[in-house]
Amino acid sequence: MSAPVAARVYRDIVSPLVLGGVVRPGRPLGGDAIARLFLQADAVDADLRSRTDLGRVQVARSLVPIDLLPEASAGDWSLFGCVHDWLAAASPELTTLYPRRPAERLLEMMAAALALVAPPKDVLAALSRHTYLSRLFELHRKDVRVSFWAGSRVFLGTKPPERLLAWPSVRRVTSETFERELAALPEHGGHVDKERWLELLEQMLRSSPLTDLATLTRGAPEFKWSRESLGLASTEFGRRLVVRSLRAQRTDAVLRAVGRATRLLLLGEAFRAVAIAVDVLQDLLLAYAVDASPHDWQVLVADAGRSKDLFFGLALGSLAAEEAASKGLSSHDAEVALARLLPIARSEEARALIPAGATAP
Amino acid sequence: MLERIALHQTRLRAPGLGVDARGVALGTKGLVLLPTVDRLVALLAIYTREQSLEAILPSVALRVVRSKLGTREIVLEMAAESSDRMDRVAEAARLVQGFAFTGTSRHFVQYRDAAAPFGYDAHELMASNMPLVLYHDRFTQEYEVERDLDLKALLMRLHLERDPPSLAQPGLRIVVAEHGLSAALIHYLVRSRVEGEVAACEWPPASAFDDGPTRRIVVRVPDLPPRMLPLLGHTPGLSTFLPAAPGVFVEAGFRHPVELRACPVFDAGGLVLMRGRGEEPWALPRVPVMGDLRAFARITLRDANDGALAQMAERSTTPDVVRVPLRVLPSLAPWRRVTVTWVAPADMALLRRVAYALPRSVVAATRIAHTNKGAFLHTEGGVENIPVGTFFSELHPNLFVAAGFDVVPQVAPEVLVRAMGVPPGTRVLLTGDGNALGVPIEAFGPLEDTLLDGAGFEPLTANAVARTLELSAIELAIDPIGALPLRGTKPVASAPPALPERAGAAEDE
Repeated sequence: MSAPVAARVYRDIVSPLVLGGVVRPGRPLGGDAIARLFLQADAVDADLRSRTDLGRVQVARSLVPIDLLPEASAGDWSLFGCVHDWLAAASPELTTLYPRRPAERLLEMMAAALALVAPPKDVLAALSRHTYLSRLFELHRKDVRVSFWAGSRVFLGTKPPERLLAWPSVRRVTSETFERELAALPEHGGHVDKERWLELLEQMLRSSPLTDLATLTRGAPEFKWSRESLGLASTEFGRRLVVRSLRAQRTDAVLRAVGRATRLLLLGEAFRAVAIAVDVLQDLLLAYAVDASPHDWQVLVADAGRSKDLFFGLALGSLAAEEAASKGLSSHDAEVALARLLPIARSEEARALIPAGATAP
Repeated sequence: MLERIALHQTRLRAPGLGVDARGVALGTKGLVLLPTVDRLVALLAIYTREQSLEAILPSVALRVVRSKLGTREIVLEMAAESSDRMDRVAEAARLVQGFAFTGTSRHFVQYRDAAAPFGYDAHELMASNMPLVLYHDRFTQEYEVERDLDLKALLMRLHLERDPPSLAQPGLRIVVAEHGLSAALIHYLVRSRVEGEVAACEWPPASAFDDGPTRRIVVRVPDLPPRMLPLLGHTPGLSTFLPAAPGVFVEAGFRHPVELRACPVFDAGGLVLMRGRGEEPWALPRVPVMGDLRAFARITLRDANDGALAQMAERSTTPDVVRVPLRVLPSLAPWRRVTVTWVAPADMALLRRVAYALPRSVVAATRIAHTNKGAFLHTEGGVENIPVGTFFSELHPNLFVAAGFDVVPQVAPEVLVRAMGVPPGTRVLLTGDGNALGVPIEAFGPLEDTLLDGAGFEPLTANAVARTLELSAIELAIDPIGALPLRGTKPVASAPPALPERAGAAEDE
């Protein structure tokens, strides 16, 4: 293991994921190198590390007033390596005659390394890991299709050479740029099984439960409650961080995603987990019912009539919030929230969610 | 479920939806969905400010509807007639965060907006037994009707808003006096030569504890003298009302939130008196018979037998009263305490020009009252700095005489005030030609408040301050990785290096 590998991963993957810029996955690392990255952590450029830490504090301070975050742990470094190899697996460059299907082999090595990454041991560790990966779903690739008089060429994640763009009027050159989102990379030039690739992304998100919850409105992979995310939401401080990160997103999309995931828990009869999810829904709805404008609330309730998942999230949260409003809010806020939530909580449709013989959560 | 209607499209799927001459999708009815009653009142206030409800009133229906989730909302339904009318309704609805729809029976689609100039059509109808199904580009919702709302009852239940300027508004007034004050009020008005009509009215008892109906008199005064306004406005037991619409009067000092003239729901032959402070309105189905005020003047009967004798006796015992009328004569005495100037309407343009030259201290110290006879400016320290109008010298805090004139006979100012019956809240000005003008003190306001015409301003957009640490977008770039990309890679060792969290995880397990 040479020292520059850790520095390269930090420079080309970690720092751009925090500060923005160009993410450049290079040659794949392999499971053994991923597991040993932490040993080379001192090789990272100090100035780059300082600037990246400033960006991490900026992310953290949007959720909690904190000025100092812990350094990347061994698990964090393994996760960085996994992100590197996971991105490299979807690279259009990863084609060889031997071995066959290199992307699958790379993913298997990465999965073995990822299995050794422990979940965060406390809320601060979860927040620290989240500051590295919070912008993962903002990653996109620009593909350019250049058409000219004799044909066309597609450049995936690279810039077309100047000579191909020369004499645009004579050679009738036109170029078209497509922005590919993260989940669309395997099907645009990649040589990897998309299902397996997204499955590993889901596993990586489980290693960073706050990121998993803070990005639950993503398209793929769909959010599902995991042991790690439930563990984070089961603590009061962790749940507060989760609700704050969710308040920054569209409430209907959040309620729809949480409602769908909670419904799956209910179908699996994981009632203890459902109670934790209901607490999140309750806190989220109380905050929204106090702040939302009449128009936004009207649209949310009307949308709930069309979407089963959204209705499930809204109704379950309203049932739970009925009792909690009088405890956690000022009298005026509680009055405002209850005026909005009670009609929903007392509707026949919401009451029908409570199993026979049970009381409201 | 909604799709935009294209130009020249004539076939629409939503039942009862057609296109009018302009190509806009229109049903026979228009509908506005509002979240709360206060939004409905705001909608009526905005709509009636420019338009009358008279045209749409026969078809207007107000309903409280209930969604499947139990939320209650308000629906205003009317005949659509034309897209011009619906455009105005939709604009007002947008302003109060309501939604405008059009349709014919149960299915109503979103009315046209900027995104769809020809409106919307529902390409898929919801199978529902509910009496109301609304299709919007953001939601589709079905409602059941819970109850109807009566517009007239709603207008009568609304609290009036305070409007102090209406206290001094000239013109027709209705004065209502409690039974005990009726004789005194009539006598006062007759003695003051105020013309008007009076009627005695009865209202049903307010509660079962009352003995009988409540009696009050209603006096209709076409032109109430301004000097009487404070007395009638502040005396307990007397209430004054201003006309708001045919058959409807609003208490002076208050304003109805909705322009009632644009809501012809009240019977012009009836009488509705809307009271402020949240009190119940007084309503009568018919205006009672009214008689001339002078017919109620207090009369004194001459004694038929001893009248001449009594008169002779009185004449022989009572000396002639020495009374002379007050006169205002030119005087050569120097001017003292010139604190008021009267700017006639013809000189108002001059006052506006002079206002630009007035020093700051003068503007701040001067108070002004606007009347139908012009403006009166009062400065405690002397009004000579405003060289416009007719100057008045102060004889008494409530009595002024034109500068250069004097009052004869020369009596003490207090006696003069008492003899003229000047009320405490009024400044009386004696002009050079002998007229007396009374201006209520409360009509005087700061000159600087009324001097400046409200100037508009051009709002500018400020550039946001750049963030110290600007986060740029994250882009994935693909670099060549060589012919043998997996060369040198190894699977994770069976015994990986000692990692702190690995040990923690093992303990957890």
